[in-house]
Amino acid sequence: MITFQIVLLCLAISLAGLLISLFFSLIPGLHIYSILGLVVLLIIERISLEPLLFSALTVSMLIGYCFGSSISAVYFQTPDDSSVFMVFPSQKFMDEGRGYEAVILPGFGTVVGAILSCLLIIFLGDALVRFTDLITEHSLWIIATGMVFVWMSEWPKDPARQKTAMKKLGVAWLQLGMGLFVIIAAGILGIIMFFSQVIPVNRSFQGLGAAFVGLFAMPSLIQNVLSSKEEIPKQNFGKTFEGTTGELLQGAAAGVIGGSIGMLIPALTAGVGNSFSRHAVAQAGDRSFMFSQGVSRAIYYLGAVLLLFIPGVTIRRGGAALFITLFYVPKTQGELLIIAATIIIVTIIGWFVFVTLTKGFTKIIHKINTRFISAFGFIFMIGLTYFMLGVEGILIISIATAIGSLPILFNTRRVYCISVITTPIMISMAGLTGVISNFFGLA
Amino acid sequence: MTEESKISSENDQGNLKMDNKTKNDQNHLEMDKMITKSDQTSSINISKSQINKKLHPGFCAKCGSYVGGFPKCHWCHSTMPHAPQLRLGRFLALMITIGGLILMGMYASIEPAPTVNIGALGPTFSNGNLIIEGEITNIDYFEPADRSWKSLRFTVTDSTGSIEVKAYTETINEMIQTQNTPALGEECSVRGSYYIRGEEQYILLDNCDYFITSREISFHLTSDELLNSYALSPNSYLGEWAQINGTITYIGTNGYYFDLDNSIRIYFPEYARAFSSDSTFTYIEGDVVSIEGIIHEYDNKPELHLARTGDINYISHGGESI
Repeated sequence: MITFQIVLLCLAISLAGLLISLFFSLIPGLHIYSILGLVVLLIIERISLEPLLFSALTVSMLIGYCFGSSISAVYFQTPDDSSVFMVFPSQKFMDEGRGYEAVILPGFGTVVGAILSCLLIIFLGDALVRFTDLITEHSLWIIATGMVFVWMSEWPKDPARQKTAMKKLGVAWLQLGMGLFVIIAAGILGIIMFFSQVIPVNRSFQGLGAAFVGLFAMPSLIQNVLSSKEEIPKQNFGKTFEGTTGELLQGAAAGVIGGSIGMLIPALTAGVGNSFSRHAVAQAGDRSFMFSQGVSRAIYYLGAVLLLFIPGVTIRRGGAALFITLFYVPKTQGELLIIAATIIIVTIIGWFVFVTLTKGFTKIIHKINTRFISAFGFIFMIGLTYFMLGVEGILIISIATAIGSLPILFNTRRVYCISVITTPIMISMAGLTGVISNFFGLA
Repeated sequence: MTEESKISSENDQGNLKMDNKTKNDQNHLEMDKMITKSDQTSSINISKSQINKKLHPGFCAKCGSYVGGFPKCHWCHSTMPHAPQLRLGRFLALMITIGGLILMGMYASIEPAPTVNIGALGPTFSNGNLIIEGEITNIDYFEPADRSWKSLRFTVTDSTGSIEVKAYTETINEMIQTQNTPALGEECSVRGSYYIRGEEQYILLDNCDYFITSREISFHLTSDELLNSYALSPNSYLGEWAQINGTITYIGTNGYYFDLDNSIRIYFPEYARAFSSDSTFTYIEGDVVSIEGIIHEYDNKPELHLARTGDINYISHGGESI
């Protein structure tokens, strides 16, 4: 039963969750699902927590992660699957001393995205449920189309100045071919992980954590440690930054579309959704792009959790919703409204904390040796993976890091690594689990 | 924002803005200065590595163009300083990817899914691939009138606990086609994914090959032998599998039950009928058959419950059709 005391406790625990996740999100390479996994273990093994309070804690940690990881993605260059596109323009901004702007824009996008996700679920929940039912049996071809689009929309980066036509073709297809190789390699990794049990079975709830960290975060950490990049120039910040209404609207539209694709369609994350949405709204300009990244991440992470709270249905999308259903399945409209209110309040408070943190980092980032930060993040992630998943986790993270390094080394897209989820899910939807398992000797 | 501060902000923005083309120009200027200085003071030798240190990483030392993460300059085709490391990195990443996936596949194929006691399952096992073993203690099957989809749930019980196993349309169709369907009282091994949704926990069976049953036939009797032995010691027979030979002497309405030798009733449970690929009962009175089933009791007499149509085997045909 929901009482006033529980509502107050929700707010209190949310604020604690916001601050904890803001702090941990600054560690480069750390994904919030890794920290949530630790929290779940604590709750199961040591402390007991009312399920609604755990839900409030989860959403607040997601909000803190959306804010905090903007700082680490820009200043420490360690994006996750949903922010992987953000790195490129933010690098340019950093070189120009506009790192503050590069961090604040996605952070502001997080605020807009969080509010929009609450409004979407509360007022359009029924329509979203009907839409989800409609697309469920079409998910196979939707996901397949998404992956094909992401691959086919890549353009060779080499300017084709080789002497012969064959060499030009070869260099162009080296990049595109390696992109396809990354899709296949990540897909095989996903097949082995989904159709067999490599990690300890009593840690299965964190199954994909090691793979995701290896594919998206570790290559950036290694790159930061080993590269001979110059020192970060001094960053400037002001009380305002330039932007037109058109840029914000375009960014919001792209963010809503991209985040919604990640929220509603199984296996497709905000990263893939964003590659559609940018084309859909003919997005142009770095500011609009970075703002849209913040919007889409917030809608992807928070919207997926809020879908679970729609009364009468159980739509489970994303790792956070999976963690919540380990303890309970929400049933009432009251629970949905409490969580939505928690999101809005925590987002507003989080914005002010985030701005303060960003200003602090902006002042000192040119003095920080980001190599040490990245090295710390690398060691922390290895230690956390070993603690959660043992030697098998280290094996997975090593292979995933090698796969995730290929896009950086061959100048192809890092979002191809999402094939670790999309390929096994497509195979399962097509009813080919047995055939593929037999082929790989996993039957 | 006031007009003055706007202009000031724009000026600041203008000062800060520097795109790659401008950077390239700047680098060319720097190079020209260095080369001019070198000409003027011939005692100063400036090596390429010194020039590289002056330029941003990723720029060509020879022509100053931006190259980025490529081993050779696109414009003047000179080898970039980072080319050896890049080639080594590419080689290592490829080798670790290919070798690692092969090793991981071999490791996974040793024990693709571990066997787990049902009582040990908990929230941290969620989404795990595992095997459970036990006795089938309950079966629940449903399909709508238009047979557009099917849902099967059966309970598996071992010494540590019970859990529900679920299967859906495609898997059920394969199970019926291969006559690999669950039967009450059978021992089974189920490999599937473990899911938790709040208080509900279940194993999802999505491949009929991952469902293996076994039964131990405790008695091989005729119908009269079973009737007489059961009367002496019913508890020794209840719940056990038996194989009975006899002649069909009576068939009930719709074929839901029939009698052997006027002494033992054979019952065809609803789920077993649903699992039949052909629900038509084709046996007639006078047929001599061999039947496997679990011994239950009905009206103080033993009754054999069938699991599937495959449990009835003809020995000889006989009698006339009705």
